[in-house]
Amino acid sequence: MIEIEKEIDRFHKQYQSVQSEMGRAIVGNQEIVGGILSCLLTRGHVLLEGVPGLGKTKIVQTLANVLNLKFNRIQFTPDLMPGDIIGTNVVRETEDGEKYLDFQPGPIFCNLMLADEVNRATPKSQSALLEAMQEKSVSVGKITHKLEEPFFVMATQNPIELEGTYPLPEAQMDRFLFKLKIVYPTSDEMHEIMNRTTQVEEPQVKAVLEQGEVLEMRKTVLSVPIAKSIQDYAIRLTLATHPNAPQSHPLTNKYVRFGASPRGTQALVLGGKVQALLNDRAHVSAEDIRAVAYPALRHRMLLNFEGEAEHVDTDVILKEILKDTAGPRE
Amino acid sequence: MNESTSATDQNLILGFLASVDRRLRVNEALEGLTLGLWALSGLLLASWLFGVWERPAPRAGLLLVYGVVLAGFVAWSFTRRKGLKAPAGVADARSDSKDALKSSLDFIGLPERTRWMDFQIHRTAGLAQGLSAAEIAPTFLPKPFFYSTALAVGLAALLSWNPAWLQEVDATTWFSANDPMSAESASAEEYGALPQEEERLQELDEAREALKRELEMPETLRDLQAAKDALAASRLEMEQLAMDLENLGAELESTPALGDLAEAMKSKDAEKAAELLRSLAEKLKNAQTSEELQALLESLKDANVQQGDLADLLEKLDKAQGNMSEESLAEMAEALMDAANQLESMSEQMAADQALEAMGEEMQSLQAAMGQQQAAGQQQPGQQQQAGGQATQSAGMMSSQLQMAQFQGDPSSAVPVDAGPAGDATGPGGGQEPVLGEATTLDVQLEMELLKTQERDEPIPEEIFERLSRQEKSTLNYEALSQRGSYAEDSALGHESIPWIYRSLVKQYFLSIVSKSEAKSESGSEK
Repeated sequence: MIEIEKEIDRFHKQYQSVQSEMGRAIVGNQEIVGGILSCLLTRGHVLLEGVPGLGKTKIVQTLANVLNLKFNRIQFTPDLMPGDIIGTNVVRETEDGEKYLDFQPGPIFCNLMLADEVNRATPKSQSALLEAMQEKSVSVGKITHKLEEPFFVMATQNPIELEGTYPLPEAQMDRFLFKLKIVYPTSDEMHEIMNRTTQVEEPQVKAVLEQGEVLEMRKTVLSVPIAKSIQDYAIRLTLATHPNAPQSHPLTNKYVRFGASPRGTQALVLGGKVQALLNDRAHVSAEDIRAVAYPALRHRMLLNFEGEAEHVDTDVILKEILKDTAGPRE
Repeated sequence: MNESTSATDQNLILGFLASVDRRLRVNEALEGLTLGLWALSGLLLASWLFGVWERPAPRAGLLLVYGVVLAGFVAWSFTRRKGLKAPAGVADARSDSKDALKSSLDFIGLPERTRWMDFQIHRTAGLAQGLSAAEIAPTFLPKPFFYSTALAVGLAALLSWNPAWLQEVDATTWFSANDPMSAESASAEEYGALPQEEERLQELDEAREALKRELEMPETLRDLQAAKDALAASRLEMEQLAMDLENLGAELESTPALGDLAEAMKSKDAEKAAELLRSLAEKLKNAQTSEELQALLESLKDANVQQGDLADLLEKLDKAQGNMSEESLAEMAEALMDAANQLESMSEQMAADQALEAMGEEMQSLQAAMGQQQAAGQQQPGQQQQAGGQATQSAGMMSSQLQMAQFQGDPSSAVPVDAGPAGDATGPGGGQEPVLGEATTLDVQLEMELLKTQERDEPIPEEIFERLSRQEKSTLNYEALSQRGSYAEDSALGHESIPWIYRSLVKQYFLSIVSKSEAKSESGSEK
């Protein structure tokens, strides 16, 4: 009993330390940082979307520094090839003059990977990430190379400069646990950003969490139990995004072509567990599920023609679904 | 954590939830009661609108049934158990425990639990210990309960209000009425006799209303009077006719040859008399000699019938005698047949008159009964109501039957009702076994249907080959398959299958052929 109390307490402290350390470099964006950490602690990946200059890359870089994990960055461009991501076999020669193929690992072999502007690469290169993100392994030739845990992909994409881009396919999108939208900072936050970034010395962050601690935190998250009634609520929320289903919402029927997959429910439950621990609870509540509903489901709903034509935001549909879906059944 | 601690935690949570559940059920029962009071108000209004309230017996029954239903509903809403999930949800919502109780209840129901689940149950037990069921689910009377009660009580008072309560009462009467001793004894007797008196009064009221309705039917009375007059007239006519027949019979008695006829007329059996006259006509037809005829007619003439009402019959007999003198036997027989028919119609009229007389007697008895009931109706209308109603009903039926008979002029319509419908003589109740004749046979001969065969031309030997070729020629229209093929299929089928490495060889082959043929043609032209 006391052990679990200590576990929760430790998790809380570690999380707070990461967040406060990141807060030294990142102004605002507490929800974004929380969302990224939730994905990291639930073995997921995160997709960051925002206009240029909002600090997407900065957040990821700072997180990598704070976590003291191996970090790599790939700038996705149209001419990027899969080999540039996962690595390739190169011919080498021994001292005896014998030639052999040697696998040269790509930048994906790291703990934290920043796939910057992921929608600028061709689908072929984007798909190279699929196996790595889901299976945590890379196959080159006949050999499968396991990636080191924790393996965490943070991808960014720009929603406005769409010319010459390749929107991520649905299968790729579904592999991101959360899709986080970075919004413009407020006036106060802007002042703070100016103060920090326009001086001689920029704030530096130090590593506060080791690799092993991150893995421990992951275990703690997965241990949190969830009651069946709360899980049922998460499932009903997911099913409400399915058009023409018994539980579907009227807005879903009107604007959505495909709803969230079971991965969406997984994202809700896992995100809810992190939220429960952050709120010093040993059980998931409906409030925790609701807190992660937007980042967990917004990118898993595919709009139909009508929805695209009317520029419907999936967040609006989710808001209505959350409002109209009854809470956990009594 | 050991098992005893876990069990204690579980009991603590379950006990708390049971307490909340009990309070919630009490609240539900009170809400049900409130609903019932609203319904009572509605019931009171409805009973007033439909006039049930003024009648004590249905009012008491209605209120009793309502009371039983309401008590049953309240008891059911209190005793039904929907499980502890609902109270857990309510407690979570009201204590802001973020689904802790609900989750713990779920975990308690699991067969196997993790450390974290036990930890959560332990935490929730501590939470439940700090919570008060009275605060989470306070028992209270809902506001609508007071409104509904006030409305129901007000309506009941309003409906029970008697304006006589406000009338000025004489002091002596008031004191005697309010004397405790006399009031007790009087009230005891009154209470004892009250239900019977009420029932009797109610029955009398109903009987009086029914009788009043029956007596307020002038048409029935008019019909009765008309039927009575018709009966009196027909009775006189029938008496005269019977007397005439009796006299005629006495006069014919002196003639020996007409003894049977005289007997039938004396006994007023007109039907039999008509039958005898018919047989007499047959005898006239079959008379062998003129002497016999003469004797028959003489005997008829000697009868010296002098009845004024039967003058037609005698005229016909004279006519028959006249015809005999002219030796026209057929006309004489016809005259006798006419006389027989007249007698037969007289017989039918007599039968109708007898039926009318019977009905008249019955009507008189009914009218007498009605008169008695009307006279006694003011004293005991309840007892007379049934008889009066039946009498009126019977009289109404009787008058309608008479009207039908008078209107149609059909004597047979006045036949008594007990004549019964005509039955089937061959049936088991007919009294006679049916006589079966010989079985009929039907010879049926089936003929083979002749199918017309198509006539075929015999083939002409010379045209056999031409005919064969004509038959083989297909009459189906078909289209060339190539027209249906798409461009893609066409191109796929028509694509060159010669491998490119052999193309040069094929080209060389054709060029060599061309060169040889050209050489030949050139040499031929030179030649």
